[in-house]
Amino acid sequence: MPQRVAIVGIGQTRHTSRRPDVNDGELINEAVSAALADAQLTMKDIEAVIIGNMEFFEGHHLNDAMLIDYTGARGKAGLKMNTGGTVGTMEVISGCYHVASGLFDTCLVIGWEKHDEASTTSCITTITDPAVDRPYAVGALSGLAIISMNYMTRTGCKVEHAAMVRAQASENASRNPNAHVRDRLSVEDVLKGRMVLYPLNLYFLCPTSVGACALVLASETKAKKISRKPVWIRDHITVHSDYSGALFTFPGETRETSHMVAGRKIFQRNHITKPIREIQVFELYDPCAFLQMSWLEDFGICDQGEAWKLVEKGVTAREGEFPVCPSGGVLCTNAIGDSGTLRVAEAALQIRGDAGEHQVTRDVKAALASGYGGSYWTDLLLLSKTPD
Amino acid sequence: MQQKTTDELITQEMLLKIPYRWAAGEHIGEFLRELRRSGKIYANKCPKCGRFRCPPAPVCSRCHTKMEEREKWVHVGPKGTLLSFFVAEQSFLVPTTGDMLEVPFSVGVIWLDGAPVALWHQLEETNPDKIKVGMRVEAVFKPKEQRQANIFDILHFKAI
Amino acid sequence: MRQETANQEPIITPGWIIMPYKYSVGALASKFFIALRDNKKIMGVKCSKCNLVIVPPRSICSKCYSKLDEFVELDGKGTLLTYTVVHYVPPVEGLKPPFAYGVIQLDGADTGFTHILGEVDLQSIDVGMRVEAVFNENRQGNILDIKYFRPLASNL
Ligand SMILES: [Zn+2]
Ligand SMILES: [Zn+2]
Repeated sequence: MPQRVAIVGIGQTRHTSRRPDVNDGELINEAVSAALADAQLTMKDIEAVIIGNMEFFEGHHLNDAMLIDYTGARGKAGLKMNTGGTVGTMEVISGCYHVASGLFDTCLVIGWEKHDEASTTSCITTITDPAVDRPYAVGALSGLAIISMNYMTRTGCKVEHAAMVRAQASENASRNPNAHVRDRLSVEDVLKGRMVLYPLNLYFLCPTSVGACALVLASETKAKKISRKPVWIRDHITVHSDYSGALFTFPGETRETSHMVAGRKIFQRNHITKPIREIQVFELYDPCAFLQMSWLEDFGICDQGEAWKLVEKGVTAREGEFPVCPSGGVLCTNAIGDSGTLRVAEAALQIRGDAGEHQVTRDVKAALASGYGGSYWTDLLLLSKTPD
Repeated sequence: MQQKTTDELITQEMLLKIPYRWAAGEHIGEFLRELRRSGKIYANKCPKCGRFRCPPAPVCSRCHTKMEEREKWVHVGPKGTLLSFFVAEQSFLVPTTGDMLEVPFSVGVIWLDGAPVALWHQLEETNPDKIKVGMRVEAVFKPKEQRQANIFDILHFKAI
Repeated sequence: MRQETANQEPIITPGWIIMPYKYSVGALASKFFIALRDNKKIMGVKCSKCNLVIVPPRSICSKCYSKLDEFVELDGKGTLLTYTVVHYVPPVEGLKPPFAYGVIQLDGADTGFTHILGEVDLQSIDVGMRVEAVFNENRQGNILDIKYFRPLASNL
């Protein structure tokens, strides 16, 4: 019988463009210290440490070796993860496995990135097939642009709707002191952005940030003993996609993305029939404004082609009926290795009622957090206020 | 603490330069040899679920069945329909050369005639106003003597 | 498939990964590199809890997880703990083989410091040998501001 797992400590650094005052380890240590303080634990209480970022993004392979002093992992168990955009959520899921297995009562999970230290787009270009795809890839941007264009063609969504998504994200981020890009932007401001990859201008894309996020996970027994406000990881799922079918479905073919499978399965097995009513907040991994809409549909929050209408009606705003990324999301803060961890952290803060200025207006009993990335798979986590 | 902000901070700049040799393998290798040999684009089919792959693949990613053998590969294209595209207007460092990307650079996802398969490739047209999803395009090959069995044997796709 | 293509020429895609990158050493290690560059001094950092002196400095003690910020000045002399002689020519730019590098315990420090060994007969390097730092003329605030470590003449 697996143990239940709770989040008992949450810590993050502020997110910004550059941090020359700290090296990678010192950056991580800020988040680790904050998470331990939040959990009212010390490093001695931690039994396993999971760390991850995007392999190579700082021009540095196997950087976990040199980070041990700062993560506190010396002499302890744990893993290093490098699974692309999902790395942050994959770490939390891996931490869950460690604790749920009964082998560990506490596990520290750390996601981080220092995007200022190398060329993000160049690094991501190297994930593609060197013989046939690499010459035509422009990092993650090419995929995002292709899906965005396809989303508009399929559903009738207009560029203006993506601008609404970004304007709303900027409003949310302006309330979040740890967010990176915090300028309030109007829909008009967004539409005037400099073109990067047509149809995506700068504002439709996530920034490249520097930051770290750490979570302390604990078993049910331990959590009930040490935490006043544990947030329960009720369920989680990982669904892979194939390399050839990850981005595209042919006209006439039934659309079945990894997000669709993940949403369907997690709602089914948790007896959730109307996710939009039964879940109060979704910290969705949204690296591009169009994708926030497309992926809400794919996860089954609404029907295909309906998400841009929800955005129009303000349903996904912080005060709306189904707030999406009240933190400002990946659209405003993207230190990739911590983007997924941060989704879980921010969803958990909403459940605790500790999100401060960007707390949603409704009582949050259940929340979702997702991750997606270049490894072509989906992570989806369901968090709740009560263990069952 | 106040002194800290005025203290010099050291950031070291370095360059990573690593050569690699990627074996295209049996299937993509043969796909590339055909580009050079016949100037034809090939796809293959899963005998169980009917899904096609281009470039041809050994195993179906959906039902894990062995895909059809070389003699059953089907010729697709050179004409096709544009399913989606992007036009890069900002330049980025190209990691395989160390140079900056020459912009504008446009890439399309092309549904090749003959099978439900899509190929990503460069588009000749770089003005986004002149590129439309659904437009008909055609592969332009290099002259045979210049072909090297790589993906650049197709120069680009041009509007029909 | 295999039989048909076995005698075909394999298709190889050659390429490069060329990537400039940066590394911010952080406020604490900046002091170490500035001392190397401006004063030809090697500074260690001391853990006030377990008295460990670490060089190059780190801001967390790996033994007791305390925060570190107390600098101690070392005299640049030390003892060779272990070494290797490199004969391999890597595909990336670097030093011309054969050359030696070793792990040196600097006097007053508790950690090993890895650096190149210079002005030395490669055949006569020995563990326990006393060495001293030789600084580069043109120093830029990186670890190669120390040119190498050479044997101490008097073996002091
Ligand atoms: Zn199949
Ligand atoms: Zn200590």
